Amino acid sequence: MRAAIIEDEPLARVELRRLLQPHPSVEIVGEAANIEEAKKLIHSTSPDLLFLDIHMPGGTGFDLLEQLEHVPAVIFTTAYDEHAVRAFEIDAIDYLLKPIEPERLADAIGRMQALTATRENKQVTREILEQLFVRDGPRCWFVPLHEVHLISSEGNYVRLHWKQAKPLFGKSLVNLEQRLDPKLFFRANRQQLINLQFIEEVDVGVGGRLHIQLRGGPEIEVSRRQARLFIERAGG
Amino acid sequence: MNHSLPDTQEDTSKTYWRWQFGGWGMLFLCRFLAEWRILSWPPLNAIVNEACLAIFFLSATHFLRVYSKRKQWIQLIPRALVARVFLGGILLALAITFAQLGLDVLLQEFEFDLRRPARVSLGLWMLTSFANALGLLWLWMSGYFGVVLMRQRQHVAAEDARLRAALRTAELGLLKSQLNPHFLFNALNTVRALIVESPERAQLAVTQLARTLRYSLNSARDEIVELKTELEIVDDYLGIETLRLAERLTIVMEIASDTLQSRIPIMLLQTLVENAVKHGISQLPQGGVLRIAAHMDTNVLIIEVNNDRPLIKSGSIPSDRVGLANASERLRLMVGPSASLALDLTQAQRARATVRIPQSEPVRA
Repeated sequence: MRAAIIEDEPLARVELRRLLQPHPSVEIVGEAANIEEAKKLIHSTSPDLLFLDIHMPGGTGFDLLEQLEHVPAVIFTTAYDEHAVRAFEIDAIDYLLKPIEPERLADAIGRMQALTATRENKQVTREILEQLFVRDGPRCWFVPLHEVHLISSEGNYVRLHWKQAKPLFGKSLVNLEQRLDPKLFFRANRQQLINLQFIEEVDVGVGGRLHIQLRGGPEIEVSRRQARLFIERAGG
Repeated sequence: MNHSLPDTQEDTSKTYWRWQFGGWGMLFLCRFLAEWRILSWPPLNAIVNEACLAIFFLSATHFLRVYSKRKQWIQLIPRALVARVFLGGILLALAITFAQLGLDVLLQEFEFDLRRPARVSLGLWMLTSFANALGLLWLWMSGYFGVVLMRQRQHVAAEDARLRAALRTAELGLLKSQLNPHFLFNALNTVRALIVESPERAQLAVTQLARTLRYSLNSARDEIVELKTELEIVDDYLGIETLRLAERLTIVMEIASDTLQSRIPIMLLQTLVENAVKHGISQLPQGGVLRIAAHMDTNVLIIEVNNDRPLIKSGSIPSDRVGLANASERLRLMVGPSASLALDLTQAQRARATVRIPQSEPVRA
């Protein structure tokens, strides 16, 4: 597992490196002291895992994640920030409180290894997005895209329909669509992308339109042009 | 001015009516029995006489209660209250006497002589009525205002206790914010790293951290210290921050030697320096310069904390202003209106806090 340390305090970096020594499975590909350095580092080394400090000069760890195209797995490190840590509604990531306890670090690494192992089995190429880091108001989520049943356009943003949450994401539908797995998401009409795995029922309506019922979601109308495409793909 | 809850108000009102009816009823029942059995008045005379008196006194005293409440007599100084009780008693006693006279005149129309059994002249009858009424009214008023004043005092004491508790909670909050958990845990993390890197530096860091914590924990809220003492703790604090921020923190100290004995509120300079690091230098990827200067301008101590800071995005309010507003308020309360704390954020990437504390004035410790 290739990891990057993003932390502004030199001694804290030294400490984390030393704590990681007993974990040969974690290879440290680089360090960054602020989010500008971090962006360059992540771009050039594409790590699997970030050890990310929340408080940094020139922007927080959340700011960094928002600016990344591909979000690697993240373990947050923070000295004291119950609010930021609590901001995560879903336990998809881990956080460590400084000073870091070796046992907690071992647990976190174990969880990350399990996560990356399942991911490698899927053989996903790097060009396709798997998860999004979404910040909507005070709340943050790591959203696994295969769990999103519907993506709808709202002006320059998109709304992700994911379980009970419906966070807004700061990219346009066209922009996001280019980087989604085409085997997973299908453009139903000008406003909506649907997750094919969530289709429950398809009805043929008047004039060649299709009505698709999504599991745990609304009924979606597929435009005539897209309906032909859908049938071709379903038939092929 | 009544702060009590509606249900206790209702309680008070119930108690009042119980005492009113009970008191006047008992009194005039006794008088009726005495007139009838001992003075051998005709029972009808005695009953009409005493029932009317009971109604007069009940109305008069109830009027007093309503009127004194509306005019807030309870807020008056004791002398003014006594004067009102004195005069009010006389006026109401006169009113009762003339009401009795009116009743007498009215009843004589029906050939019923109310005062015949007393067998005294009209003048004497009126005089005794007046004296009686005056005595009863004064007695009633001293009882009534005594109870009301006592209730009010209890209420004030309860309110006072509540306020003191609230203040203590607020002080605890202040202490907690002074301790700054973020600083504490980061410092501990640094020490953990140093234990292997450089045990001597780790030892020094633990000492500095302990001194900083002890100082902020032991500092009473309104303590006044010499600048020299405060500077020692600022040094310890900056020692730890230098370990954390390394070359990003450059410190320049320009302390004139004649300022060292001057007196300042405890934790004032420390708060300014902490703010400068937290919201200024530590937010800059390349770090910056922290300049602490102190000099005397005739008898006024002037402290300046000057630091680099990041460009604030428009629309966001710098949170350090809240902390400084508290420090400013504390300074004003402890030293007086001639002391001041000003934060200058007019320069885009620098912040400058200036404290002025006159030293000639006796500082309230």
